[in-house]
Amino acid sequence: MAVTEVPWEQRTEAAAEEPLLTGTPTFTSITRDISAPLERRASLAWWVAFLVALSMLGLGFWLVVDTIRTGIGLWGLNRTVGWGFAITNFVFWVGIGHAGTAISAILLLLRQRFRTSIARAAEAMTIFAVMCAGIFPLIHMGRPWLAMWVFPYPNSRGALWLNFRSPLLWDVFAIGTYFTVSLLFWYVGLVPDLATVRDRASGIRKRIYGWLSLGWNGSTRTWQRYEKACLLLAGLATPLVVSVHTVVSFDFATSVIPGWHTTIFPPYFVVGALFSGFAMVMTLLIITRRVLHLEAFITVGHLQAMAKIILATGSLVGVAYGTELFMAWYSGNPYERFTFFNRAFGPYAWAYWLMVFCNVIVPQIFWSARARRSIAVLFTASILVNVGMWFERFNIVATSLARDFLPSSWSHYTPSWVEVGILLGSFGLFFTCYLLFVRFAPVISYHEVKHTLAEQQSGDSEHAHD
Amino acid sequence: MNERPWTTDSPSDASGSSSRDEPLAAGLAPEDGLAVDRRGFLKVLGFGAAASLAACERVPVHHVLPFTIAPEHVRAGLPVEYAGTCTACEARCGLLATVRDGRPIKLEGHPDDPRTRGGLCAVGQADLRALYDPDRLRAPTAGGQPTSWTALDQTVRRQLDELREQGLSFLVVTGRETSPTARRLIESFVTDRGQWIEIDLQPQSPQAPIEAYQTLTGSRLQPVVDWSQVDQVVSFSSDYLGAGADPVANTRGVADRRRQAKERGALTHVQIEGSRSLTGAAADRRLAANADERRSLALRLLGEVAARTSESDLATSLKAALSGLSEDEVATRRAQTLAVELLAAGPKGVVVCGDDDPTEQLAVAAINHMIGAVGRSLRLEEPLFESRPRSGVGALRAALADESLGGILTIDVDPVRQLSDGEAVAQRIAALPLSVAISARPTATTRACRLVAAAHHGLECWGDHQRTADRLQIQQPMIQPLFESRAPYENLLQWSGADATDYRTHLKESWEAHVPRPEGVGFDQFWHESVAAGATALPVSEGVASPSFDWTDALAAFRRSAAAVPAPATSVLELELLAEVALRDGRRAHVPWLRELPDPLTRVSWVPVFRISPALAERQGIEDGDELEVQIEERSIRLPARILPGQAEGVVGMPIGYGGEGEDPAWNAYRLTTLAGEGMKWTVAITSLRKTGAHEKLPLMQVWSSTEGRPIVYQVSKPDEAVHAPHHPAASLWKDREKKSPQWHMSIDLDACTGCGACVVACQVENNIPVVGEQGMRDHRDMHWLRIDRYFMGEADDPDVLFEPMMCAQCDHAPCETVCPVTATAHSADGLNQQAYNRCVGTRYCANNCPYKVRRFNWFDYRPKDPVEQLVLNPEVVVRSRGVMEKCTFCVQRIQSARLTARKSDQPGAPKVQTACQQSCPGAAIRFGDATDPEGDIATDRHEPRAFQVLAELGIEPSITYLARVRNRASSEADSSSGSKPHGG
Repeated sequence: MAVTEVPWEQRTEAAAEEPLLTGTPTFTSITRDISAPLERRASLAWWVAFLVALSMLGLGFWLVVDTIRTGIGLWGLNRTVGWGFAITNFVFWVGIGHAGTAISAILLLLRQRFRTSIARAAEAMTIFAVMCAGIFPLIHMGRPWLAMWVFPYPNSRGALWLNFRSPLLWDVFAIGTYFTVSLLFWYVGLVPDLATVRDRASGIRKRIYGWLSLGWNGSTRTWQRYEKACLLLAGLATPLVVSVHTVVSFDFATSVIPGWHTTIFPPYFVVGALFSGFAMVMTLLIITRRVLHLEAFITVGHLQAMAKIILATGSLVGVAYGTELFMAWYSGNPYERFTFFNRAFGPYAWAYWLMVFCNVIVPQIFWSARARRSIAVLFTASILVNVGMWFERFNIVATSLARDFLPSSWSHYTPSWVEVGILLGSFGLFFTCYLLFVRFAPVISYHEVKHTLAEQQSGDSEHAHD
Repeated sequence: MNERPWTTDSPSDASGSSSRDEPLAAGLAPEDGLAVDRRGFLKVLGFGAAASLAACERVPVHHVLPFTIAPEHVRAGLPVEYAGTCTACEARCGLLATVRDGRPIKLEGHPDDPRTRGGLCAVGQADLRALYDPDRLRAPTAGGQPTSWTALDQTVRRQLDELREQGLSFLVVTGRETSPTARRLIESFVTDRGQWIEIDLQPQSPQAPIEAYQTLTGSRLQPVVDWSQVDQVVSFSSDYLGAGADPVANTRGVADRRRQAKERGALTHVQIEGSRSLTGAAADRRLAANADERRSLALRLLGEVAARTSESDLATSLKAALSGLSEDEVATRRAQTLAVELLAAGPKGVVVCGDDDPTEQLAVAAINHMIGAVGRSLRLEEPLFESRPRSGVGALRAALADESLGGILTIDVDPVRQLSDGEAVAQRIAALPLSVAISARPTATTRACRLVAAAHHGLECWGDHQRTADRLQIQQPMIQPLFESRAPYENLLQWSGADATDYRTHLKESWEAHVPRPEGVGFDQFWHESVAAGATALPVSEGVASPSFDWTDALAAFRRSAAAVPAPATSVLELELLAEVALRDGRRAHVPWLRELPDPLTRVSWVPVFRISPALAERQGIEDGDELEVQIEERSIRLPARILPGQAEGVVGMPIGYGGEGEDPAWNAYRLTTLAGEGMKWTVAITSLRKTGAHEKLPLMQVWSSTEGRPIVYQVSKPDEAVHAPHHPAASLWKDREKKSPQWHMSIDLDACTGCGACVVACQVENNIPVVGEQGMRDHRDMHWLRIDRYFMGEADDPDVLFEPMMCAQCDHAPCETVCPVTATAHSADGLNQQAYNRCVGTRYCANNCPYKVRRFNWFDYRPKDPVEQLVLNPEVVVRSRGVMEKCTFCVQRIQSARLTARKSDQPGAPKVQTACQQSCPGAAIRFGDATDPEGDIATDRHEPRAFQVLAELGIEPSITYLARVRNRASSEADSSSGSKPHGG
């Protein structure tokens, strides 16, 4: 691949010093290259991808409508297992979203320069993932048309108010806050770039982008306020990275069911979320840079940095699995012990070992720098990690429920094709949104990349002086 | 609730006309006669419209606005209870029907019935749904076409006359008829060229022991066990607690006797059987044995008893007769143990037998005689209604073969399905000039007969029934007939040209003529009192003089059998046709509540299975759900297998209740029966058994049978042995709420629970619980609020069976309550875990977080759609819609109603409430009450040494206390498996 110009022998120095932009970019070329996908006709690849995604979305939509019309009975759930694919998908998608916030907020606060090229796409991914996640708690309800009852709005139902002890209600607030802040952060960040697009556009596009860029005029004062707003929102978003998945984990941790009732869940969920989120960003960016010809901006250096995070979080997830097993044994609680034994050796053992393989074993390949720089390895691993993380949630949700306290009630959960279809539909929604995003908004922040370029150039000149 | 005036006459009686003149629903007229206010007027107007519509089919309509003079005690919207008799089987338990606005909505056992004392089995409970069955015959038919009653009556009368002119005979075929009035009517109906045949088509028929006493004493005598006198019972496959002849009365008798026994030894029960039964599950010890082994064990036991009793001529001759028994160490040791125990109990011991083998029955009768049981634990009574010779299946066969037969009239029986050569019987019937079926439902026999007289359901008719010599029960209509049907015996009145063609009038006349009444009481008063009470006492003649026994024939039979006892062989395979607790002989197999009630032992619902032993399964590599083909000579049947530990190794069990109208005829086990004298043979030798290779997922309510060593259910070896259940942590993050009286709690005595399922159906009726169907059960989406968990403990081949009724424990620290985002489930001040259906959004989080898994979700819209079906719904309980969670509420509607009644009458303290499950329980295992009452049932039970709570260690504070099962068992006994700690099975 053309982008891997750094020879293997020089990898040690290269890893430290590798430029975040390759080729010979100029401010003009950056604007031109990043704007190119918006200004040219969509490629055949885009159309194919879009139509596939849209079909999946349509399938999912139809199945959701069918579920609401006919009943949750269309799913594979039963009296013992009340939650299956829907809640698994919910936790999965919320987790995916975390990487976006982590990249744009935490890395911004930590002044990690490599974030600039990937932050925009990651933030967009967050928004779309949270949208996908939000659908599931809604449609898993037996009577979704009464979903507004979970919101605290003034009503005439007297004493019937919300139950503030319910983790599901905490979810409503956590996810609601998260979505709002993420959306604001993403949109505020987009404004100067939308103005750039506006300035290059004409006709109806100019009017729309003009409207969307909220009258951006590029003055120093605007820039100064913009920077401040971004910093503030980053500050607001940072605790959410930790809190949202912590609250999601409370759905399980505060229950009495063995396998759910576990104090390790909050950190375990947050780490797992970052892990899966970075894997998803990786998957998306590898495709994006290739399809939109943005290899110069999203370099192997970026991917390598993410691979390191995946290695770290994956190993932490592995430690969490081990801790869980140890605690189940150490507690001496027969129910607890059985649940974990059953996960590893019961009817869902294949799902457990698939999870362990994908989440613990696969990321270890990133100890090797060669692997971290191989697009094929990165892509495969990122997909496997997300498969593994989906199964982690499935293991937690379904296997714990299927065999809990009284053996008389033990059952088995097999999803129906409707549930599988709705999961596909959520991917359809995600990719439809993402594909529209790459067509209509700049995938990479113009001004941040230019900033990086400026830093890089000044850094080069400093090197020259040395 | 106890204020309800259930001792009233029927509504139809008060209005002084025949039952069918009443409209569908009882009155809504204002109490003050003509003082109608606007509201009242609208009510009457609305009702009038509804009543005229409801009565559309019935012309002429006699009363559009009923109850201008309302029958006493009838108030619109308030339930009234009427006494009656259950007609679901021949046990004829006393009934108390709750009638609301003219329709019965719940059947309960009559607390004044001395045999059952308020209990009613699952079939009796479910009989209500048979009344509101949309598939019932709605009008008489001739040749398959609807006809009028007038036309039908004319045809039958004309054809009967023609038969008589041609010198042909006709048959009246009924089941075991328990009504004296109906018997007299049939007798008079068949006087001219007719023959009446009663057929009893169920296993465990009471006829077999009667035949044995006929052989021994020359007179027909029926052995009746007096449970209050029994210390030791040995049962040879008698299923007296399950699907036998009188399970409700027996369950109560046994439970009461066991409750009396505070120390070990009272009513120890040993069961010897081939197929696992409920009675076997309740036994203190159980021996698995096939039919041959049972007969030989009975003979050996007789020999051992004779050897140990004082020298007498009989003992000597018995020993001599049985000397031919082959050597068998195991069987001899078993017989010796049993003999020692029985003789230790002496006259307080008893042996019962449910097998159809005459020698075995004779041996059992001889053992009872030898240990002196007769007159103490066993009474010999003259059976009621045994006067007619030549009756039974054999007689029916013979009569059908008779060339001079010209007509057949079946009343509420289905010989075409229940005889092994049903198709030939159907052809024979079709070829007769006159064939009439009187039936409430389409059956194979109604299809074979040209004329079909649609019959009332038992709850629509008048009648009388007698089960004991001292009591005559009344059957009265609880509802205006729903369809264009007729009381079954009214047909005979019509066709015999009687003066009074109305069955109620006939019944009254019959009573006036035949039933003795107290001195100085006028008939009208006597009649009213009897109807109100549901029964009247009959004067009892002196008991049976002790019969003289003649042992000649019996000794000859023993000698023959002893010589013929085969050596024990494991390769013998036999098929035992058995009645299941829910479907019995299949008469109510169309009632969805019974189809969905899982068999207590196999836990399979909706479909029949072959029950096979684990040893057989292992030998042939069979797994649950594998289809088996069992061949009996040239006939074969294919069913899926279900491995049932406790089956005797070579015994395959098959239920007889399936394969009726509208079902796969291949399920009909009656095709495999053979004749044995006048009765049927229920055990047949299997020619071959093989796996077909097909496999299906069974509709199993419970897949896992082991407790996995978890402390969730207990048994102890004597009544005062303590259970050491884990205790819940002392520390709690929760603030305890103030617990004011009442705090509703329940206690369940597992020693009195036989797992019969009466409570499950009672709960379903009371609480409008939907039926999910076969696929729903396969998907584990049962809706039962109350289920009976069944665990196996002990040896893998013949484990102990433990039943544990499981419903919402109304936890004081309920995990479900904290997790609901919309507060649809919350705790009430009286300790109930409430569920607000209309607030529920259906997240199912509560069900996930329920450690007992007793919450049920409406996956689809399960509400009944058919207007006839809807009549069964209890208006006191919300019918839940799709997407809503539901669960047991300790019958909150009953609590609320009792509370209001108590408040209105200023009664202090907690009101007396019976939950539906508690009311129905034949063993009175369930007690319910205020836990804060230090003298109450609950406080007493909670301090029992056997008391334990399930999963209390989670700190959830459940409101149900269980009392451990007692297995009277000494550790030294050969076949015992001891220990109170559960272990895997």
